[in-house]
Amino acid sequence: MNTIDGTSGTDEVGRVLSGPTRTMTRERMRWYCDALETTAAGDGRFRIAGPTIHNDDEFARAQGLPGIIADGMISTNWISQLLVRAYGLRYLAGGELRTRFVRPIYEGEVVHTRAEVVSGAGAEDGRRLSLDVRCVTDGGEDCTVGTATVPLDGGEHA
Amino acid sequence: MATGRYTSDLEEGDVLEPVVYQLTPFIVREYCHGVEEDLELFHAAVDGPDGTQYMVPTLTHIEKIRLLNRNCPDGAGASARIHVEYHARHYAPVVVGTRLRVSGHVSRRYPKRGREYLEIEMEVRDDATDELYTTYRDTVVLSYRKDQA
Repeated sequence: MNTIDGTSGTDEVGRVLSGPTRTMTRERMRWYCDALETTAAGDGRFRIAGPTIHNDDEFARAQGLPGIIADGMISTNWISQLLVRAYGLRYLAGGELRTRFVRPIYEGEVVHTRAEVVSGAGAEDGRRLSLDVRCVTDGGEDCTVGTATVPLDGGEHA
Repeated sequence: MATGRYTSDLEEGDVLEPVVYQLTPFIVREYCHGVEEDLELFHAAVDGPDGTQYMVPTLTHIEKIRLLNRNCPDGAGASARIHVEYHARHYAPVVVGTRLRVSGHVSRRYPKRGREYLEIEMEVRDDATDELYTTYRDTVVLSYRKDQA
């Protein structure tokens, strides 16, 4: 799965990773809520999440929102999936991802996921690729933005 | 023992009671379903012919939920928590079946533009060997509504 086989990383700079264009559906928001409850409990039983700002319009409006908004971890996962697909175990063994949720994603919005390698060396703890990452609406508004790094050198796990 | 009844009770410097649990295939697969992750790397049986099943890296965020469920058993408080920043660094892949120890503390609590922010820093380690797998910093808004700040 690893795609960084060279040693300089410079040939990676400028590489753009793109994910599928997705619509933020009510179901996607619900799936994440239920998965969160189920996996946090971790007892082998499925959970249906209670009302949250991500699955209940009335609850969301009571919190000052216009309606349900997507959990930021959905778009973070879309970005993370790009990185895992591009860099495989190297990312799991030493990757870093920082995302900020600068604008809510509402039901029905179309979202594009993208990452671009902006540098190929220079971290204090060894040579790493640095990437700008983001999820953007069809209208060009940033929703989730951030940075990622991936080690250039293999290591025992890569 | 709870650190606070609600997440909104947490204060800067609070050390959260650690959580120790076994990462099961069920946990990883269900998380995969929730985020539409179909890579076999995260679905393969622990002892299957295709090798090892690994933890999805973003599942780290659920470690925070575990910590909060343990330490603040009555939930968020008067206002919903709104996640504003995720920052995870991985040091080794986590193999399904590993017994994990999650520890954390409240690194910051601060007001900004009329809203109250809470930052938690966590570590995820192998409970048997103490190997560090992940460090994670999570930032939330405790009071999205300005009139509740």
